This record gives sequence, structure tokens and C-alpha cells, in this order.
Amino acid sequence: MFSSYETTKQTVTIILDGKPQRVPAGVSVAAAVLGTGKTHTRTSLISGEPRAPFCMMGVCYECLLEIDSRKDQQSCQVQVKEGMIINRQIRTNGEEK
Amino acid sequence: MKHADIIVIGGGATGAACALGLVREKAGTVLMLDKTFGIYRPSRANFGLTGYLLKGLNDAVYAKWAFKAIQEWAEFGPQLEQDSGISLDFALNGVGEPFLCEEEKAVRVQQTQQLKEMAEVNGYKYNCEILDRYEFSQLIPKMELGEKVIGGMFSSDNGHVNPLFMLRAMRKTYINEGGIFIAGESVMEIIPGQSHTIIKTNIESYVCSKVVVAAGHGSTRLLNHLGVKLPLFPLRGQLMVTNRQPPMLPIPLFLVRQTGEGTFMIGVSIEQAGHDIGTTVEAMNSQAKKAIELFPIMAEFNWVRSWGAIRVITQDDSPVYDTIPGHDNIFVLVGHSAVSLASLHSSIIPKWIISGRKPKEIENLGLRRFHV
Amino acid sequence: MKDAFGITTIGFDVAVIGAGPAGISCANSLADMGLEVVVLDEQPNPGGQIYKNIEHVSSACLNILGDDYSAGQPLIKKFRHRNPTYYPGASVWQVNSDGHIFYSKDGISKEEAAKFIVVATGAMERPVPFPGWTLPGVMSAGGANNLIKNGGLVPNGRVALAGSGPLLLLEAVHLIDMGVDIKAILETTPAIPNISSLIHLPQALGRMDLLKKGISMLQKIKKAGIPHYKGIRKLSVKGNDRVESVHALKGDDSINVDADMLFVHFGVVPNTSIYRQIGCEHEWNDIQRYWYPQSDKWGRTSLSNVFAAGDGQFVHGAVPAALKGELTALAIAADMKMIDKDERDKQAKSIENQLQNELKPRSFIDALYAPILNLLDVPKETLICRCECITMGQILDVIDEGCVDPNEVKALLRPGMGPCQGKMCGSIISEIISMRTGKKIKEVGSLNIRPPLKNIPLSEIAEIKFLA
Repeated sequence: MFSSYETTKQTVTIILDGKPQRVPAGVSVAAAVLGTGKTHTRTSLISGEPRAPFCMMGVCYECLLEIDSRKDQQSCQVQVKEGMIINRQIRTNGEEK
Repeated sequence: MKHADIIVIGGGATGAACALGLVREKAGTVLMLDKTFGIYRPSRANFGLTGYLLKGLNDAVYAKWAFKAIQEWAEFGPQLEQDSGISLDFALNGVGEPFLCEEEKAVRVQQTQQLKEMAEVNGYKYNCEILDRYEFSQLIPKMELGEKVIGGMFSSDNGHVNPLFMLRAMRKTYINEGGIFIAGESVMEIIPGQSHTIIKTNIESYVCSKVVVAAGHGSTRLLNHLGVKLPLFPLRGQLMVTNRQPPMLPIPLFLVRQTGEGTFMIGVSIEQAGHDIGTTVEAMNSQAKKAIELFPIMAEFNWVRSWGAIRVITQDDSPVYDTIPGHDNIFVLVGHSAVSLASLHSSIIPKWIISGRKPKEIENLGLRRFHV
Repeated sequence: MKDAFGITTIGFDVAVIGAGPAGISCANSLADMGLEVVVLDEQPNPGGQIYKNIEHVSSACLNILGDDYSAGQPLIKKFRHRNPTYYPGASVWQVNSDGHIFYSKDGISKEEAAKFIVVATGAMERPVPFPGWTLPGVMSAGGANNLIKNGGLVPNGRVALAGSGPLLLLEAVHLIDMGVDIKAILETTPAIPNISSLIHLPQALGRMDLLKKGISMLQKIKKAGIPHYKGIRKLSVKGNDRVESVHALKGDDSINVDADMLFVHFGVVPNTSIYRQIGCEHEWNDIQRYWYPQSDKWGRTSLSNVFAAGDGQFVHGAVPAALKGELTALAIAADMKMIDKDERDKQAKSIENQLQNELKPRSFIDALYAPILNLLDVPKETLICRCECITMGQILDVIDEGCVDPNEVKALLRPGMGPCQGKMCGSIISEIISMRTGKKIKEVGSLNIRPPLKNIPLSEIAEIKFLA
């Protein structure tokens, strides 16, 4: 859904859902994940529907991701770091994938 | 002026249970008035236990009453779910309490012994086992106990319910069965008469044959006018809740419980803070420490919300059911544990209100015991 | 430690929460006057939402975002030069009226204290529910704007924009400049301005430069040949796991737009969480339909040591926000006896003049873009609480069962109990109660806001570092 407006100079490598990805340095985790082409970042714990970042300013909590083993992190408020391990919170039937 | 046969003042857990019972007993036109001040409602401080565990240590009458309430819940809970169509997250699958030191254990062992003896004298069985660490851990196989836990107590026939869903279900069923609920009106005065009583709110006046005052702390002000001093005082409880977790704690404990939604509730604080519903960082800190001490995995859970709420506590901890001196058509129902007691508040209590004959089993739960 | 008035005597003179235009300018002025300031901000860099990432953004993006964005540069430069104590990445989760602040930074929670607190937490976009608003691909226009500023990201599919307000059109212009494929703009604002806005027009004409800016935005949209509908109703989005099409009604005609993304914007409202949590009194603005903290011209709230600065005090925009921050700094400096009252008033005079000049078009714009919520149009199955998945129909049911207080609706049904703690649905619930019962919002009230203002792990609160 999103792509970079210009080629970025500095990048870092994150591990997203187990796969290494090069993303621009200095951006938020939410932006980085959207930039990789992912359309959603989690599924609702209640309805199972896919959800994606909505406000990008720390209000809506739709961008919750597991970052470096800590679940339910507001990914729009966290900057990417080299080697960061990020997992989308995708659940089916109440169990985590 | 609007007419009703019975007016219930207070739409909280006590008022709604009683009002529901009254319409179920076909008591005529029943009106429930509620001031609606959501953030002060004591049901919010309720941990959602339907239990008799440790209740009535100083009062055999209350101990037996609390025991009976839980027996009745077995029928009351499912019936309410069926009538309202609202799931209450209700189960009578036990309640436990862990012991973190020998002193804690010693106190509970003694109290349990005392309650068991009281029960035997009064012809029922107080069910509570004292367990060692291994036995206690078997109750909660999915969560590792902290190293300080030496054991615990467990009662298999106590249970839990979502107190707020229960409140909604009682109100909804009450309305469905013909009860009238007026929310957002505050009762200013009760004016007793020979055969009729007038209730003045900030908006309207009502006339009725019988009045039930079940307005929690608000009852104090209403009855003061009539020369009755209620022996009530506020106790604040602070609670905290976490984000949703996969199901792992199958039974509620006194300190923590996992709700039907998957969140963990933590609540231990009891303090005198007047009617301040605020929370303190100090209390949150100590509650979080205790929860982690009990279950180390809880360190990883996110703290999402906290709140304070005011409990309605009587001087001797037991509830008050009575008519006020000189006016046997003005009833008062106040006290804590309105969730556990809801089953009786919607059965025995309404029957008493309709017939005017107070059952023997609650004879001693009146105002007279405080010499007012 | 507290003095006889219950005000803390340890820590800083002033704690400024928020490093947007108001917080930065306030901190700059306070530091100029020799006060000990600490600035706590949730983001990794100063600038707030409006000047987000301004120190690092590429020149290409700077170009697109224009003068209104680069206006933040001198402010931030001065802030770096002044160098007050600054905690970036600090999420404040509780503020007590006695000046004690609790915050989380780098996974550790700590306590800080100050004699005065300036809450400069800005504004947020007004959440407005419609069918499909939780689908991936629906994002707030401000969120899309943040992706440009912070990620250099631009949408690469078909885009539709919907809502109302100048920021919606501004975002459209940015996207046009970046070559994005915009399929339609759907405005809830009527084509013919409402009469009540016109009485403010003469005053607005005093700032022709700002009005001209608005007109040139509209011309750019027209020139780009983008279908631009006004006065639309019944906005909805359809799609399986993401946006596939956007729908609305204009009169009796239906509008159907195939799109991959929808950016929505329904104006901005003060972010009142901290004011509410501390216990400041609030007032209701019936034109823009939002709560704002009661305050005097200095931003002093109902609590004498707590100030509201910037858009959090009342939505006026970035330039006025910075000016309001300066006024607040003067009031605190006078309270702290760094300057006397005559000096305060003298210095305030020119700031107030500038502020007045900036605010000339505001009443016109506020009335022109008064929110049209049309909550009656929202179908029963539409989610209101995104976190707990509570629908319009469920909320109407409990209201009909006699629940007339938003806190009671929350208690009985759980909207507002999820991670966002009602930041998204709180105002909507009050509006729904008001609509259903006919009661005014002022009587309905709002959700009670309580700690923690941000979710934090239990380990953090268990290991919190209290001030000695």
C-alpha cells in the first residue's frame, strides 16, 4: 500500500515475522512494517478481523506489535533499531500463529 | 404526581436485584429510581466473586445467609442468563487464596476452623480445604507459582460472575418483566404519610405504598431526614487490570482473577479515603509486586487501567435489612457483597417486602443491633 | 516534599509535557528567563505532530510539506541551542495535581516532580465511525501525513479522501504533489457554506493571505481533475480484508469509488487525556463539538499550578500554539517572581497582538467546517469501540435500558476498556447518548480518564523508581 518517495540512504535490518527486511533508519516500527508492503499489523483478539495502524500518533492502539519479545507495543511510537525482532500479532481461534 | 405500588431507590446491584424480585413476584407497579453516577457505583469495586469464603467471621447469622446465597446462585445465575440473554461469565467452580508466608496461613487455618465449627452448629457444611504448595499448584496447572507461595486454601463451591454484566442483566430482565426504570433522577426527599409515601426527586414527585431504600451510601442522607442514622462508612478499593491474555487461570483467587475476556484483575487494597475514587501509584506498585510474587509471568502483562471505588461497609460487616422505626412501609437494604447476595436480594427479600413478614433467618440483620 | 500549600518543593521549576510548537516555545521562553525546565515527550525527536521529524526529513519531503512545515525549524533549532533537560521517548502515564509525574522511558518507569506543569499535548483527529472504518487501508489523513514526515512513505495505490476540514484538503494537495493517484475527495461539508459561518467572514478577511492559501488549495485540487464531492452522507467502505471500494450518498445519488486506501479527517480536537486525569475542569464548545480545559488567557487551568498550552488548550493551529506557549511561560515566570507583573503584561502585549492577528480567520473556519456527525446514519452493526468490538446497536440497547452516563455504558458493555482506554470511542459514546436521549452533551458528560495514560508492563510499575 505504501512505498518510499525516494531512495533512502541509511537502512537497518529488522526481522519481521521471521524474515530479515531492510528498512529506512530512523522511522517508526509501524511505518517500517507498512513500508514492507504488509497491509495489516494484527488481528482483533475479539473478532479476528485484520487491523492496521490508523492514527500513527499514539492514540488508537491499532498498531500493536510484538517487538523484541514484548507483546502489545505501540509500534508507531517506537523507532526501528538494527536487529529488532518484530512479529505481527496475528491470531486464529484465540491461539497465536 | 406519578403513582407506583413500590418504589426502589437505587439501581445498583442491591436495588436492581430487589426490584427484579418484586416484578417476578408480581408486586404491582414497581419503579426503580437511579441517580446514575457511573464512576461512584460500588459494583465497579467488586471483584466478581460469588462466594461465602471467610464471610461472617463475627456473625453466625450472616455466615449462614452468605452460604445460602451461594447455594441459591446455582439456580439464580443460569436463570438470569436465560431471561436476559446476557452471558454473565458465571461459574461455581471454586475460589482460592494463596499463602505467601506461614503467618498468613496460620490466620486462615484458624478462621477456617472457626467458620467450620459455626456451620456445624447451624446445620450446614462450610467447604474449604487448606492445601500445600503442590496441591495448590494443581489447581492452576497453566501458571507457575512464585517461589514464596507455600500453599493456599480452596473452596470448590464458591464461584465468580462479571458483576457489571450481572447488573445489566438484572436491570434488563426487570424492564422486560414490566418494571419501570428511571435513570438520571436523584431522590431529594422521602416524605412518609399514613398510607402513602411521597418521593421527591430533582425532577418529579412520586407517590407509592412502599419504599425500598437501596441507595448505598446515598441511603445515609435519605434516612437522616427520617431520624435514622445508618452505621455505614466508605472503604476504598483500588483495582488494576491488564491486557487480554490466553486463558490460564481457571479459578479466581482473592488477589487476582482472570476474567472471561482474558484480562487479569488485581485488587487487594482496602483503605479509608472518604469518597475519593482516585488511585495512588503506591497502591499500584504494591499490588503489581504482589501479583508478580504470586505468578512471575504476570510481570510481562501490560497494565491497562486502574480505578478506585467505594465500598459500602457496615460497622460489623454484615448487611442491614429492616424497616425504619415508625414506618413499616419504608424498607432499607444496605451493605457490601451485593453481588454474592444478589440471589437472595431477588428472592427472600422481595417476598418479605411484599408480605411485611420478616423471615426469621434475617431477624438479627436489622438496625437494632447498632442501637440506633 | 511539599510546602504548606501542598506544592512540591523538589524537582524542577516547570515540567512541560509535549514537545510540539507550544511545549517547545514555552520551554524556550522559560529557559530564557532562567527557570529549570524539564521537557517530557513521547516521540524520539522534538516537533510534535505538526513538525514531526523536522530535523531529519529529506529535502524532497520538506519541499512537498511546504512553508507551514519548515516554519518549525527555527523553533527546534532554538530548543536545541537552549538545551533544557529533555526526555524524548518518555510516555507520561500519570500526573498528580501536586506536581508529581510518572512516566515510562526505555522500559523503565520513573517519578519526576515540578512546581508547575505545562500540559502541551496538542490535538488529535476526531474519531468518527462509519461502516468499514476498521478495515486495513482506512487511515486518518494525519496518519498518512505522518508517514510522509517520518517514513518518507507515499501511498502507491488508488486513494480516496473523505471527511471535512482544511487539513483534509491540505493532505490532498500534498498527495497530488507527490503524484499519488487520488480517485475522489468526499467532503461532508456542504457545498453552500452554512449561514452561521458567514458572520465570521468579515473578520477572516483581515487575513487574506491565509484565505488565499485555502483558495489556492481548492484550485490545485480542481486543476488535478479529481472528482470532489461536497455535502456527502453515509460514508462507508467495503472490502474483504482491506479497502476495495468507498461509498457515499450525495442527495439521492450514490457515489461509488474503487480504491485501495481511504484517508479520513473530521477535524481536530484537543487531546484532553492528561487534563482529565489530573482533574482539570472542562468546558464544551458547541460549534466544533469538543471538550477543552477551562483556562484563562495564560492557559492557567482550574488547578493553579497546571497550565494548558497549544492546541490542547483550544484548537488554534501551530503558529498560535507557539504563541500561547510563550504566554504561559510569562505567567509562570511571574508566579516564580522571575519577572514582575508589569513586565509580564508588557511582554504579553505584543504576543497577544500577534495571536489576535493569527486567529482572525479561525471563527470562520471553525463554523465553516463545523462537524456534521450524522450518527443517526451509522448502522447498528458498525463498530464504535474498535478495541473491544462494541457496535452501535449494542450501545443503543444499553442506553434504551436506562443507561444515560458514558461511564455506566462503559461499565456495563466494555466500550473504552481496551488498550486505547476510550481515546477513540469516548467522545462518540457521549454523542450517541446525547442523540438518543435528547440530553445536551454537557449533561451527558464524558468518560472518566484514569491512570495509566499509557499501557505499561506490570514489571515496570512493580519496579518503578520513586523520587527519594
